[in-house]
Amino acid sequence: MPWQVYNSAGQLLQATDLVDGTVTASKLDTNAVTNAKVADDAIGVAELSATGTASNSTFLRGDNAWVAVGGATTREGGNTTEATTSSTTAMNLVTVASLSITQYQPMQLFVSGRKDDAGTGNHINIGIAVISGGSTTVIGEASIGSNNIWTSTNTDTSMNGVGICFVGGRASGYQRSATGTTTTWDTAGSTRRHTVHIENAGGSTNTWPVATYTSVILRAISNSPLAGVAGYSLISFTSG
Amino acid sequence: MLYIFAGFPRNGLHVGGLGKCLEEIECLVELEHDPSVQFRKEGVYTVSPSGAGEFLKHDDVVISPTLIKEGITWDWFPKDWSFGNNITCHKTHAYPEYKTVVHGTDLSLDDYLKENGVTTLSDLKLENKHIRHEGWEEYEARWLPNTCPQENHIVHLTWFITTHPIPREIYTKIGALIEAEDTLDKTLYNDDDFSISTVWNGEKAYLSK
Repeated sequence: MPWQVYNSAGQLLQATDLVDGTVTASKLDTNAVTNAKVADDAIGVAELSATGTASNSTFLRGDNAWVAVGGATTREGGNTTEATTSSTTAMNLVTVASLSITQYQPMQLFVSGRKDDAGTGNHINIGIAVISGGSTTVIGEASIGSNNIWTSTNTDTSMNGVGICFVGGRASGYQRSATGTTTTWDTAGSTRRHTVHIENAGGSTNTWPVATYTSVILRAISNSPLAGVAGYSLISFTSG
Repeated sequence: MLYIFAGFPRNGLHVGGLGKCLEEIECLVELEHDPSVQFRKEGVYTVSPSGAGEFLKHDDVVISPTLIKEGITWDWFPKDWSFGNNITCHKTHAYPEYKTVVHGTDLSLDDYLKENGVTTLSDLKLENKHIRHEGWEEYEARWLPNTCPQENHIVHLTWFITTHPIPREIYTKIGALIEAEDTLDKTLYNDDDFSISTVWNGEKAYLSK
């Protein structure tokens, strides 16, 4: 028969006879605390043994590690401003720098554009260039009248739309791998949709370089300095 | 002449509105409108409709002291950079890339476990490591030393090309119109001269995302 312990009043020892805060962890048997003995909503993040650091950008993985959310090189968000130009010669309007897109990596570009109805300008075109090996190569030049990544052509009307481009991997001798589509809508109600011509657009004869791309450049042009706003915002860029 | 300022116009004018401000209302400058003139990093070129260009001349560039203070100088613009003509509000995105590795190694947790077999996780520390690939190295080198922001950010610039140099007092006034607090008399402009989506908060030429 196990020991029975009595208090000073001759009563069997009760939990209430113990001084608060005196039972240490070593007095508990291994695996003695069951799930039912743990109060609801009692376990905090600090009590977990997981490796890594818990934060608002990590989650707890099945191997008990706090790991960063994501992992793919998806770049999006943060576009609360739009780039604009009234240049009547092609120029660099939006650049995505600090990239490392190797030759076999495909990439996608999503571009939104708009033009207001001020002035007489009708054509707004946007083309594309890349920086590779320290040199800029214009793949499809922004050119008036060209079928570029995004184009607006109607006079005295507000226009907006989106262009999407897909660029495949490149290898020496295999350097024409892009396609795309664009939609342009104007306030008069007409909508233009067409397949984008990327390589050879705007008089450019360049193909996609093979070496790693460190920047992607959206080039733009309007046909009137009074064209008002020609806004282009690179809303998302994905590679991988 | 090329003039480069920090940020987008704080008064909310888009390029069309800013052109109206500079040439028609304030009469401060004469912008380069010639569609055959293209300002590049290497100088001024003539451009034909087919895109071919011939060197015309070298020209001067004035970069705002605000930009130089933040680390953006003429070297920030890569070779072959095209500024075009007239006015542009330009933006450049940059994204330092990170990966989670086991502290003291260059291995992800998965790769570490593959190499080391059964491991007590409480013995490991993970860290978020900046991948300094060639794209980032190239971009960081464009800034003055130790000035390149190390987080996701967008650089906002406003530049314009004029036919002639502008006097210092005019330059100061234009700098205030673009970079300083909103001092514009908005009664002289139409609503469609403004673009709320080009407004810049004036804190830095770059904005963290």
